[in-house]
Formats: sequence, C-alpha cells, structure tokens
Amino acid sequence: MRGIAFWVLGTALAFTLTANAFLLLANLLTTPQERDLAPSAQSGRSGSVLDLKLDADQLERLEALPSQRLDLTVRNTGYRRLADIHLTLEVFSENTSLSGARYYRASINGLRAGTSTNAAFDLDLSPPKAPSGAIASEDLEAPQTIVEIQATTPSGVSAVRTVILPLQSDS
Amino acid sequence: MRCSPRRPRGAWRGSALMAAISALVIFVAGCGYDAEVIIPAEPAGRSEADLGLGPGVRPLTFGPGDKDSPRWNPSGERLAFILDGCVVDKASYTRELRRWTTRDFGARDVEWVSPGEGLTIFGPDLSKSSGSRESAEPARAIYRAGPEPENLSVDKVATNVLTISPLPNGNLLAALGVEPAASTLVIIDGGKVSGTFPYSVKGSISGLSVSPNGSKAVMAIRREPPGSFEILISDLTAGTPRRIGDLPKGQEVFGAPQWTEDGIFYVAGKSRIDGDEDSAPYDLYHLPLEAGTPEPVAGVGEDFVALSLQASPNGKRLAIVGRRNPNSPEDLYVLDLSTGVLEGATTNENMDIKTGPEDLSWSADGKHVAIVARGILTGYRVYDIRADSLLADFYNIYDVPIENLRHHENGSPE
Repeated sequence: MRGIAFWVLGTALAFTLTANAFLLLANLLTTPQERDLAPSAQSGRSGSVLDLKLDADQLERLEALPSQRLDLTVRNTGYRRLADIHLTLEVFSENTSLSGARYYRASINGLRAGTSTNAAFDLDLSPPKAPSGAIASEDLEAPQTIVEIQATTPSGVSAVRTVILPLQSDS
Repeated sequence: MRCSPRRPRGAWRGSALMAAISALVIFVAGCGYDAEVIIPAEPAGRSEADLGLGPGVRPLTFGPGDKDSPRWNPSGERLAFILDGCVVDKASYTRELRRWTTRDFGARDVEWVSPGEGLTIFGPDLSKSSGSRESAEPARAIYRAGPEPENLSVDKVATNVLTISPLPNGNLLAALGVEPAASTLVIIDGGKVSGTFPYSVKGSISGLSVSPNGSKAVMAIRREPPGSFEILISDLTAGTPRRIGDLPKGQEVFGAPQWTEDGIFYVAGKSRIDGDEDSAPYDLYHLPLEAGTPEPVAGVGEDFVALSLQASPNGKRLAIVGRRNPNSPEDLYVLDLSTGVLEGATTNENMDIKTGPEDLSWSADGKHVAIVARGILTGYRVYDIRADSLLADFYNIYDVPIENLRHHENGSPE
C-alpha cells in the first residue's frame, strides 16, 4: 500500500515538475513585446497592475493640430478591484524653453480585476507659440511633441506611458 | 539508550528523492515567476554598454531639451551646459539641474571661471535685441553669473564680442569687434575686463584658442573680401600678432584653430552652401608655428572628414568628431600627436553626434571628452517611463572615457 501511495505521489510530482519546466522554457523563449506599443523601456514599476494601451494606427494619424483624438485602454491586470483611477495627460514640446504645456484629466470610478475600460481625450497638438524675442535652437528645427500619460489610484497603484511624436507643423 | 525504530533504507532513499524533487519543483516554479515579472530598471531601457555609442560611454543628461556646450569644472565634479538657450549646471553624475539664466536667454557658449566664482556666458547682447534675430551677425556680449545661481541675474561684462576662449587660470580671452572690419583681444577676469591688447587686426576673429600654458593665442581671421581666411598667432605677454598662414580663397576655417605641442591644427573646407551642409566635406589641416603652408593631416586617412576638433588640456592630443569616409557615421576620434595614431573613442551605431565647435569638450584631467548626441529615430515611440528619464530620443550629453581606445592607422582599424 505504501509503495502504491509513493508511486502515485511521485508521478504527480513528476508531472508538476515537467509542466513547470515547460512553463519556464516558454517564459524564457518568448519576448513579451507587442507590435509597437509595448514600451521599449521599463521603469521598475513593471509589477503595476494597471496597464495602459494606445492605438497604433491612431498614433500614426495624429497631426500638429487641435482636436486630435487619443483613445486609451486602461486594464486592471490584478486580482482586486481598483477604485478611483485618475488619468492625467500632459502635452508639451521637446523644446524646454517653450512654456504652455497642456493638461487633460479623466477619472474612472472603478475597474474590476481582469477587466478594461476606455478613455478618450481630445488633444490640442498644435505647436506652442514661442515667446517674442526667444531665440530658436539651431539644432531643433522641428521639436518633437511629447504626450505623457499617468494613471494613479489613491492606493498607490500607478502606470506611465510617454509618447514621442515627431509631428510636422505646416506653419 | 532509547532508539527510534529504524526505517528501511529504501524508505529513506524515497524520502530523500521526494525532498529533492519538491525542492526542484519549488525552485523551477520560482524561476518562472521571476522571469515573468522582474524586469531590471534601466535608463531609457538601455544599459550603459549599449547606448549606441560603444562600450564605456555614460550619459550625463537625460530628458527633453537641446543641449549644447558641455563644460566640466576644473575638478570634474560639476558640468555646465546650455539647455535650449538657458545656462544650467549639475553635479556630473546626478540629474538635478541648477538654472543660471532665464529659459529664453539664448546663450551660445558657457565657460567656468576661477574656482568658486561662477560662470562666464557668451550670448546675445540683450540691449540690442531689435533686429538681431534677422541679421547675419547678431550683436553678442559676455555676461558673468555667480558665484552661485541667484535670481537668474547676470551682469554684462563686454559687448561686441566675436568669440571667446577659456584661459588655464580661469580667466577668459575674448575677441571684440572694435571698428568696422577690425578686431582686438581682451582678457576677462571674473566680472570685468582686466586687460586690452594694444593692437587690432583687420578682419573679424572667427575662431580663437590658447596654448596649454595660456601664454599664446591662435586666431582664425575672416578677411575682406568674404571668403578670405588667415591664421594669426599672438604672444599674450608681449608682442603683436603674427600671420603664419593663409587659406586658399573660398576655403573657410570651421571653429577655432587649436594650439598643440605639434603646432596649429584646424578644420577647413570650402565655404558651405546655405541649406546644404553636407556638400562640402571638411579636412583636418596642420600648420607649423614657424609659418608655412598648411598641409592636410595624413595620419587620419585620405577619406577622413573632420567636422570639429578640440585640443586636450596638455596639447598632446586632439579630440576630433569626424567620419572615416564621407559615408560613415560621425564618431569621436583621438589623435595622439606624438605618435600620429588615430584612435576611435566611440562606435556610433545609430546616433547623430553634434558637430558644432562648442559641443566637444575635454575634462581638465584629459581623461574624458563630453559630446552631444541623440538617436536617429523615426516615427512615434511609446515608453513606460517619464520623458525626463528618456535618453536617445533627445540631444543629450555623453561622457566618453579616453582610455583603452581602438587604434586606427590611416583611418583603418589595426
């Protein structure tokens, strides 16, 4: 009887061992990069249960004009409901001598575990006006536009996405 | 003596086997979890060994903004530079910036003055703002800031400034336009003009540098008619300037000629056509101090395109931003003047290295060179860190160690 129990337990453990080995190999051999929106850098906050996704086609269509729509998918990848998710979006120029950053805000009351929701922003991506008398940089003929998105909750969960847009202004 | 009943040997072996398997299962499961979740934090997602400029190159700045004129202080502990026209400084290997001027100041160059006495700034003459943006040669001035950044205020020290060069003692040598089509030299000691040289030279001093001991200066002079350049040297303790070379008509000196132990070196080429800067490759020339004919420097190779250069503090080496041939990317090279050996200091993979004469600078100990570069990136990019931690997306300053360099002879790797 003890022998049978031993072999049953041994078989179960061998099965678990093999399954874990395959899982490990799968983790090692796959790079978790999405086509284009996967961040190419990690901040060390990669354990965040908030995931922010942007639409690749929409990003490619953005222009240096007012009324540019940007959709954001917010996903709770954790095991608990997240309450009061605050979204802050800042649009500013690569040229730090230009003031006039534009701020946008949105809130999500709650997000159950494993679910996602969408937020839409109407952005003004027209280039900020240089103050009179300012001397333009010789090396930055077309400063890039930066869109920085932060999602935070009162419980301290947060996520960041920064989008660098090489928008060309017609003016 | 009390003894526990002995278990059969086979049972002990089975238990040991089970324990080993359990430990292995726990270990393997743990590894799988870590590999999935733990991702090391790297600035802009790249390690120091992979910044696109070769191993050993370290970033000194991060984030948005056009950076120019990196300058280490004599101890190497702090770095001053220009951020979108605003003068800032920071501890060399931390990120917190101190602003010295307003954001729209429009500074062109910055130099440290005597230790603890602040910065000298070369920028637009703010009292002559009208029309200065449109004119070909806007009026420029020298300002003194410091000893500490307070209220972003600066004091004007000299006007009609054409170009500047730091002196080894912490003072500054400046070229001033004194009358139409003439120039002279003055010494700026801290916040005042302490000495004016009793001569003027015809033409406009377009580039200026001093010998390693600070006793002599070399000048590139733009003469009339336009397109005529000559090289003058001057003893700063006595005497008048002496012409040591003329450039062929139509050829211009780019930046400041450099005074070295082996004579004068400068970058020159045909005058650039507006909007087509790549059409005229520049070459590195050598001119003996005894006067003579400028000769292209053979040690860099026949196809080498020099873009900017800076002599090391002891005058024994030249840092050169250039291309091994017209189709190569820009890289930083170091030419050892005693051996004629050209060494590659960067391995440019996909970066745009700035080639302005102010954007290349040695540390006082001659062990590092600062350059300004950014990645050649197209299309939009998405990151999961804030913009102020990004690196290759913007022009940033890099510390290139000048040691263990790769040797090149005649432009080819050994």
